[in-house]
Amino acid sequence: MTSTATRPLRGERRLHDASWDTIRELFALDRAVTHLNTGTVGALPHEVLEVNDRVTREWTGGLMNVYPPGMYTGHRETLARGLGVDQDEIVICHNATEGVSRVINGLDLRAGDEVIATSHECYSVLSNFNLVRNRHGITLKTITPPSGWDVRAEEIVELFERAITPRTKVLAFSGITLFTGTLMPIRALCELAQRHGLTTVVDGALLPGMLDCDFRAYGADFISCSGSKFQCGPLGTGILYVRNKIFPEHNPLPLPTIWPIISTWYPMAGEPPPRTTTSVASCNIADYLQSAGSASIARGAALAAAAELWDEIGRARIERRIFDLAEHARAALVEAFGRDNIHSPGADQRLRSPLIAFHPFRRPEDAWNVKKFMAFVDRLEHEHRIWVRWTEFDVPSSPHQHYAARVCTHLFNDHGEIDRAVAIMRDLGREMS
Amino acid sequence: MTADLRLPAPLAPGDLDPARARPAAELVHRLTTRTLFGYRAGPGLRDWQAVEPVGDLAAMVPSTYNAGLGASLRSYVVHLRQGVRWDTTPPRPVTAHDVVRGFTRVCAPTARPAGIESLLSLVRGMRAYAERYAEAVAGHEHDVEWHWAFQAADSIPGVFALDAESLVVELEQPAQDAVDVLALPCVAPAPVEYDDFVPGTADFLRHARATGPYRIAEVAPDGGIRLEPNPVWDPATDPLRQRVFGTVTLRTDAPAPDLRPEADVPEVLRACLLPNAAPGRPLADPARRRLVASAVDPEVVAAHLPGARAATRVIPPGNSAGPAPARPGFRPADVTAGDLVLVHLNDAVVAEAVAGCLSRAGFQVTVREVTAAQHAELLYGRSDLEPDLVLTSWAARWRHHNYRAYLQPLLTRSVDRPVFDVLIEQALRADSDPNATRAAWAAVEREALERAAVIPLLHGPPSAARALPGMGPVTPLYSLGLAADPANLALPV
Repeated sequence: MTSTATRPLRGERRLHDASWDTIRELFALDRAVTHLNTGTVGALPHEVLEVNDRVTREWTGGLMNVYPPGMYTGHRETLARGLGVDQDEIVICHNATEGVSRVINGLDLRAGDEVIATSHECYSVLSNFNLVRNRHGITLKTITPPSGWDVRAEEIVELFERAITPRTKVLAFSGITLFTGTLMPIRALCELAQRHGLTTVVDGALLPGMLDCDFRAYGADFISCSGSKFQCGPLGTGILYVRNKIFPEHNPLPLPTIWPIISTWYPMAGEPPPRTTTSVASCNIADYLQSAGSASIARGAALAAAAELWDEIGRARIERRIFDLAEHARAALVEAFGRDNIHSPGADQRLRSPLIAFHPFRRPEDAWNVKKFMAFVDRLEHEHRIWVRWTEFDVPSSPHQHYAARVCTHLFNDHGEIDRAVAIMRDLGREMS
Repeated sequence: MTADLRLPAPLAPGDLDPARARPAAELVHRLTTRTLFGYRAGPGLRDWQAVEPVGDLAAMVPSTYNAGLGASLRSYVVHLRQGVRWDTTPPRPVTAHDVVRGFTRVCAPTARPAGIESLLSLVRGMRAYAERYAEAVAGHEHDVEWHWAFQAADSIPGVFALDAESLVVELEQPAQDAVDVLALPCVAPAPVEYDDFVPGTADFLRHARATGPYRIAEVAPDGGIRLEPNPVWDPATDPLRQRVFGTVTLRTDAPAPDLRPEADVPEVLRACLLPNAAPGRPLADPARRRLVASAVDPEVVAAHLPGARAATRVIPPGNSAGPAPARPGFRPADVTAGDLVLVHLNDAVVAEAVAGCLSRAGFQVTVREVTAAQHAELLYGRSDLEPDLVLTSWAARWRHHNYRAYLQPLLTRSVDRPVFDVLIEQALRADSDPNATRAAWAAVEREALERAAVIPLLHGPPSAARALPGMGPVTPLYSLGLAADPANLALPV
């Protein structure tokens, strides 16, 4: 653990061209640990921890009005800037699950409406759509996306397109699937949705902090994100994007109705202003969602501090770094286990992400032996201090639940530790085979 | 100290084999045989804890929260509880391979346990396996070598051990009642010793091994059973059972428990008629079946049974079901009534009332009482008896998501089976969507009434055991048909 005394103070540092070794020092990471599981939770930068601590102390036991800062207005501005959108479209919530739950339950869906999602969605997405199905009588159609090295973006888009019917109202998909690490063709799927007049709900848990992304340019209606994964904010932070204005070049469709579930800002009588039909917002939709009683002021401040740090390093630079490490890891994993044992797409550059799922064992049938994967992950952690995770997913036309080991690369990793980790995983996989 | 419990009926020794688990043997199985999942005895039958399956042999119920159930809801990973042993010499741990063997034995054509249809339609490839099994041993059903040869060469694709402690059970489709089905007494582990005899036969008694607090010590010719403590049972490994008695004797002449109607649980089908539509039988003619259905007036029958009400549908109130289907309006049929044989088990009053209705419609009805073993064989097995109508009661053994519990077992008999197979398959495939499920099972029920495949007569509250003579209050167990849970009795004061 690095003490604050050895780290350059803000204002004295030049992070936009600092070495990655220097940047790694910003994180509260044990050097002896290889953290390849940012898909589950990232690592906190020291200064984010410090903001969280300081703001907590500042607001403890005081007589200040806690409600205005709980709207996170400035912090939302910071986050929105990094994501290519505006403050009135960004909500700081507790995690991606809360964000997507509020969206799904706030959609204006009626009996007979149809939603298309994939079986590779996070359970929070599928369980909330099932809730809405049971409550309102919608139809939920889940499609199983292909997995493996040779998957192409067009296959995925066609799969969705074939599933659309005249009753379809919503397309729901992950920005990056957590099980196989497929970077979904977000823009192409949003365009598909727009051609059919559909609302898009994107589980973007893994997007912020990884991609230098422009949420508006995706053309999605809703993107729910984690603040604690690649963005490296505190646990219990999420970012929700709600489209609040119309830019025809990105999404010409009218704004979909969203009922702000959990809100103290929603009018106690009457209704909010009508949603805009132009690029000028007619209401601050994010305020309706943001205002939900008192909030952890420190959490929002710390998440904003993480976002500021990312801006300081440069989001494009971070993305390049992450993907450079990912390509290095992908090549090493292919060499160690063979291309056929990689569940994540590889042939189509557009689908590659820094989450790589693979089969570490010799026997194909071990792919449905969860105990082997549990043991593999446990042994990596306890014997080698390498932190990865196992995932589970459906494979089209297979009756079995498949499992995979998954690594994620982030800016605080380096090539050397990836090489070492893959070599250990290769040997452990052989031993366990 | 000795506890006397009343058996519902004399047992056929083969029924003691868990692979052939029939209701008459449930008390014995509860005391001697651990299952993957089971139910806790709870004093309040409205309490979810009294009807929610929990891990028994399994360490826990698989869920998405313990990595036991994936998003497909079709793959259950079951980890066995440590420390459960067979009473072998020396004692051996119960393994996942034993559980897989248990699934295999259930498929033997000689087994036919209660609930088999639920199981065959639940587990991936199990029905096809059972069909191959029956074909492979056809003509040699009672030759263990043929059973062994088939079991060694074939397996159920949806059930496999990962190692000694864990197994996977894959489903044909998601099922809300999957864990309840897997809690059936027939889904019990089988030690390797059970390979030495034909499943579901009296040879079980020579090879029986126990995992519960008691084991079988003696079986009397009249079906009475004496259980003795299982020396290797460890209460620390058993969340469902206690052992407070030195021996347990189950006798057919034991004093009856104190029963009372239980209003806190869904009603049951107190009486229904199951027509025999086998080729050549009078009720193979749909018109004659409908004539029977229209001739028997449930109101008239209900007058003979206090506490029961005339049933207009198969599924009783309180169970998982959609709205009641309209009662079919049978038009007068140009069909002769003819002679019918009606059999019943200890239900002469209702049987005579039914016969009276049928006589008024021109049928010549012969009423016969059958033994419990014969009755069970008519419901679950392959009986040599050929009645035209079986009078029976029926109760679901789990409380929630029990859409299939009344219709599937009663419709897998002789009336238009291909039609119902398709309808039931559609209903099972709809499981993830409650609205679709209700609609699909409503279609099954409607068709059952239209085709007179099941003729419902009476609904009413079930009778629950509240006390046993000399024992004081007892806890009725929903999964035992509200009989007293023999594994949670207190010593008499």
